[in-house]
Formats: sequence, structure tokens, C-alpha cells
Amino acid sequence: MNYGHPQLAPRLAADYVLGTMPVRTRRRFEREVAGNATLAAAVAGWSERLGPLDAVTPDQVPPAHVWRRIEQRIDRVAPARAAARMRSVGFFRRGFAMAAVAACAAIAIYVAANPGTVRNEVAMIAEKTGLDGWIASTRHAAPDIGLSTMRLGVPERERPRWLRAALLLTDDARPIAEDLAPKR
Amino acid sequence: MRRTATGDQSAFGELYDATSAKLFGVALRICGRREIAEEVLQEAFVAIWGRAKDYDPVRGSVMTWLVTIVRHCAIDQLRHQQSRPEGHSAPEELLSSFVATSRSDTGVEMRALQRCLDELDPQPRKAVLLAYLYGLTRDEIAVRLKVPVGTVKSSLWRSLERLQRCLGL
Repeated sequence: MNYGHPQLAPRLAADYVLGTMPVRTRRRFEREVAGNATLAAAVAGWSERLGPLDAVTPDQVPPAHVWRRIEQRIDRVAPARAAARMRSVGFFRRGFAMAAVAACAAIAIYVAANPGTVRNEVAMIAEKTGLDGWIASTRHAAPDIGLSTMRLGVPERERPRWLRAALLLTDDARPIAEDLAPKR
Repeated sequence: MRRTATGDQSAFGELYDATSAKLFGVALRICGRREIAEEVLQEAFVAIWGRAKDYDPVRGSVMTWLVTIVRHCAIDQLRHQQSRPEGHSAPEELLSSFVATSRSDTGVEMRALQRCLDELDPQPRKAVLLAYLYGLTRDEIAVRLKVPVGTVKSSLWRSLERLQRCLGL
């Protein structure tokens, strides 16, 4: 197909935006659009012009489980990405900032690892206000306690992600802020 | 969106919070059933997460890009299932009800589009709206309008050309 034809581009773009393009043709077209400024402009033009049909469509709040499922799926496809981010400089900076907070922190809950058994343990160390805190977790056969930060003030929806991220970090037995972690 | 493209899950959560209601509304409009629309929204956001780096602000607004992904996910889902929700109302009625309850800031663009749609003959206008609002294929539109597929195809082209001129594309 001659995508460069001046009359064809707006027609194909309209067909694409309207949604009447067959799936295979659409995928081919999308690949073409990525490197073709004329087609991309035509698509953008049609999208913006027909966009009011979506803008007037009433909002509908999706149920909470939709986001949880999305989170689970992106966690599965990008664990390495998440781990890299957790170990990033920014994350360390936040971790050390929280160390200052922790100087006046009280242990809210601490489940210590039992050295004689093989199991994972999790401890939550919270500031008195309950706004900031850490999650520390041990991993069997690992001599250190991995320590990761979890801001308890984050919305409820985000907490499982932090929790998973914290546990993910200890899965490779590479604790961060090791000097802050209680030694066994 | 820029932060989401770098793999920032927190930013992705914010993007979801800011846009999911609108996008779920679009998915529900096309799919007609909540459980299918939920699946579509899920698929769409997983795709958005994977393709966020492809978004180019020069080529349109974030919302336009997101809506395009959701619409195509919804259309794919319905074609894959080879089933259509029952009880889709006439697209003109649906559009009228949307316009009546829409916010005023969508008014100018919507009025321009409405004026151009009104210039089309009733049947071609219905074909355009069935395709866009409900994601119907040409074959499905032909069944719905009781005309041959070829007629739908040519009337869609003509309608789009007229819309193009009217909207100044």
C-alpha cells in the first residue's frame, strides 16, 4: 500500500480513528505511523476532531480490583525494572532521610527472625505518628536483614505495591541501608 | 506520562487515577457490559504501561492517545468474542443524551462536530456514529442498517470526506 499517497493518508487515518480498520491492517498501519509524520499528523487530526464524542461520554469509575489486577500484571512483566528503581540513587536518598526520622522512631511491631527455623519474617518499624515507617524482612539462609522503606502515609491503594517491592528487594538478598538494619 | 515512560509505577498510578473514569466510560460505551469493559480497561492499561515510551506529545494529547488505545482494545475484545452486547440504543439518541449532560468545556468542539454530523444524510451519519461510538465493523453496520457491506464502505468514505471538509482537516 502506498502510504505516502496524499489522498490516501487522510482516508486511512480516518478509517483507523473510526475503528473500522481490520485488526491486521491496523497493526501494519500503526507500525507505518510510527515513522511517517504525514500519517501521524492525519491520525492526530482525526483523533482531535472526533475526540469530543469521547469527551462527552460520561465518566464511570472502575471498581478497585481493576487497578489491583493491572498492578499484578505490570509487576510480573517488570520486576527487574522495579528492583532497579528501588536501588536507584533517589531511593537510597529517601532511605537515608528516613534514617533521621527513625532516630526518634518507636518499634510498632517487630517480629524477629528465629535463627533456628527456615522461614521468612517481616517487621514493621513505624514512626510514632504512624506517617513514616520501614518494612524490614529477613530471608531464610541469608545472614542479613534486608531493609526497605515504606511510607505509611501513602494511599491505601499503593501500599501493596510498596510491600511487594520491599519483599522483592530481599529476594535477591541485597539489603539496602545495611548499616541501619539490626544484626542477628 | 513522561515519568510513566521511565517505569515509574507511582506516576503510572497517578495517570490511572486521573484518567481511568473517562476511559472506563469509553470502554463501557463500546462494550455495553461492565465485566467486559473492566477487562478492556485492564488490557489497555497494561498496554499503556508497555508503550508509554512511544507517546509523542507532538502527535496529540495524552488523553487522545489513551482513548485510542482503549477504543482499539475494546473493539479487539468484541471482535475476538464475536459477540455484541444487546440493547445498544440508537447512536443519535446516545449522543444527544451525552451532549445534554456534558460539561460546558467540551461544548465548542462538540458543537462544531455536531454541526458537521448534522450535514450528513441520516443513514451515513448513523454509520459513522455506530462505528465510532460502538466500535461496529462495516459488516455489523451493514446488518444493522440492512444495506450491503459495499454500500456501508462507500458511504463511510463519503461521510468522512464531507466531515473532513466541514471540520477543516
